[in-house]
Amino acid sequence: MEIPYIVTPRKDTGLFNSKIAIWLFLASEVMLFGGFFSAYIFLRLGADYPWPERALPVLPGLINTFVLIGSSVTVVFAWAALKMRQWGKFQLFMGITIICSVVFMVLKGIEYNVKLHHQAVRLNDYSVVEGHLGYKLKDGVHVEHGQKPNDGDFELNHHGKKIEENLIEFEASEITFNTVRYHKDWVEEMMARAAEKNATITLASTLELSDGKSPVKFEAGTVLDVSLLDSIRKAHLAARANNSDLRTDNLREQWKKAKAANPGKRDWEFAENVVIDQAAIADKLLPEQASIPFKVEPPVAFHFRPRDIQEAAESGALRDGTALKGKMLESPMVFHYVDAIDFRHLAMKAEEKGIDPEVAIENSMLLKENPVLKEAWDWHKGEIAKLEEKLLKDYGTHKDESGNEVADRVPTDTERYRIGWQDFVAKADGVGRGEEKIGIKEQFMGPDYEGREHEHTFPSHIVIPREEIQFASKFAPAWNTYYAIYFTMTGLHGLHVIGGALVLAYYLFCGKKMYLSNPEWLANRVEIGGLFWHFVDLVWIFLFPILYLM
Amino acid sequence: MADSPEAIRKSLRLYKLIGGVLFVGTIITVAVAKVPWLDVGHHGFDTADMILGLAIATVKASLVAAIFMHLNHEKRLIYWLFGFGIVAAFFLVALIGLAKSDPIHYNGFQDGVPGSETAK
Repeated sequence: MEIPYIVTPRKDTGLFNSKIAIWLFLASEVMLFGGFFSAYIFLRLGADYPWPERALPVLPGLINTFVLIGSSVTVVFAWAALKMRQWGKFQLFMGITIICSVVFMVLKGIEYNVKLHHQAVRLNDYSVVEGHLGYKLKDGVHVEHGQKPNDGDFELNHHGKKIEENLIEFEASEITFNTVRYHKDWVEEMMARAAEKNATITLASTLELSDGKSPVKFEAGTVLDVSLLDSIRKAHLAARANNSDLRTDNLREQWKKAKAANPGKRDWEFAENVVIDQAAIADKLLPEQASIPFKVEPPVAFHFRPRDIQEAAESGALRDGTALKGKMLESPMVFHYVDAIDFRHLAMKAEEKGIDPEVAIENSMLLKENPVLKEAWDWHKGEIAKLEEKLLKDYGTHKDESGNEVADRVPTDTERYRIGWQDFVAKADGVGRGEEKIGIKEQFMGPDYEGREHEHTFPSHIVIPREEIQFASKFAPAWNTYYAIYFTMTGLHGLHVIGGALVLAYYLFCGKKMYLSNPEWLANRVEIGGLFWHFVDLVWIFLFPILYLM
Repeated sequence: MADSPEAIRKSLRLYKLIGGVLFVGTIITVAVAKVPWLDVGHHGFDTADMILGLAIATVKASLVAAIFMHLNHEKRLIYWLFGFGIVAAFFLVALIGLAKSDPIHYNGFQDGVPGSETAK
């Protein structure tokens, strides 16, 4: 069947149909992104924490802007080439467009990856530490400054992966699994950990169950194994199914009897007196086992990710319903490298309470417990004093409403209360704030910790006690609403880039036949794909300044 | 619309020119945010920076729409369709105004008393 008006325009609209369709789609896209821009403004105006202004490295965003603008030019050139019946040029320009889209997504991927491996933690006093966590060494030893452990020195989980020093350690003597919900991977990790410590995890009591046909017995002292838990779950579920059938059948029977005993009455008048005859089915019920207790001998320190456990001094509960008994061990978060400390939120809270932010910062746990951070803070204060002086000299003063002489320009809160990784570099290089030399790779990927280690650039081995942590996260959507909207908007935009690139790639690689049969048809389709591509560029033109520069 | 091969050939120069303007516009946007002596308004990010940044972005976006997307000489129906989308998007943004003018809004619970907001 031939689709009408895809090459020649309709007389009433003056347009070919697919053009109307794409503009309708773009109008809906404007509303979609408009909603997200609206959400961004709302989140920013309503933020109850200092909004991270100009927090992202600009270079990746800038390069991506150039890449997208370039691809917008090449896609319109590709369309023009088709209109002029130049297949070779069309291939060239469309090929460049596709390459641009790949470059864009690769750069975006690198940007996301850097963020998702960057740790942040907000302490109870609202100071924020950012950096990279260390990995656990065997026997609880920490990696010290400048130390280069061998691969064999690290503690590994049962998947053979290193363990970040951000885990809750709990020395368990009893573990009770939820029969239905236990998480196999955690069970295996516990088994591996116990084996490593020469401890045994054994069934605490004998369980006598039935699989519905014959009795099954699980002897006390049986060593924990996933297949053991699976067998118990199977027996438990069979018993539960059997018992619920018995109860349902019995209730039906009771209902029939009640109906017969209450002729002429409405159901609701006697319904509340109809109950299961427990005595009649008691001897047919099979034993159920909703939880399975195990003993750990000797007790073993297991570690869990903070989000997986709710811990107390002598007990813990995992997300899969597993209950632990024993004792909680010290479980500090250890930053192998700190690349920023941020007191903006602390200063904001201090001002709300009428406390001088400078005093609050001096009294913060971070500065009191870590001389290296205190030293960095003192250096930073000196630099900000110099900046203040410079701004005063360059821009002068004016009189405020009360007639007081005030500086025209003053340092921002970010400058005043945040020591960023570039500041640590400036300090280590012995230059003033803002005079540091940062290479393109670092501007893109963030600080080169190991390359700068010999200069002791970044404070290392900073220990944050667990009880001081208010909230911790990678730079992921969970960290704050800024990162939530950043990932949402750029992620949605990235999906549009992928979608658009696939359509354009289809024209490039599968369009030759269409070109030979009717070049104008392909030109129209490329124009439609190009319109979408320009729209993707147009959205980025706003996203870039809003997310990276404001 | 420039539909004949000759007309399209002529418009290629315009496309290159617009591409160049977009590149320059991007550089200006970054420069006013990063270079201290180009900083407008107060030191650091402020309303003036926001207005300037968004103004440049709007000019760039308008050029893309007008030239690359051929909106400078398009049929009336397209203007209606796209215009409707933009008006609706502005309405979504304007919803914030409704929230801000809500007479019973508050900045959260302070000292356990709902509505005891501190005006900012």
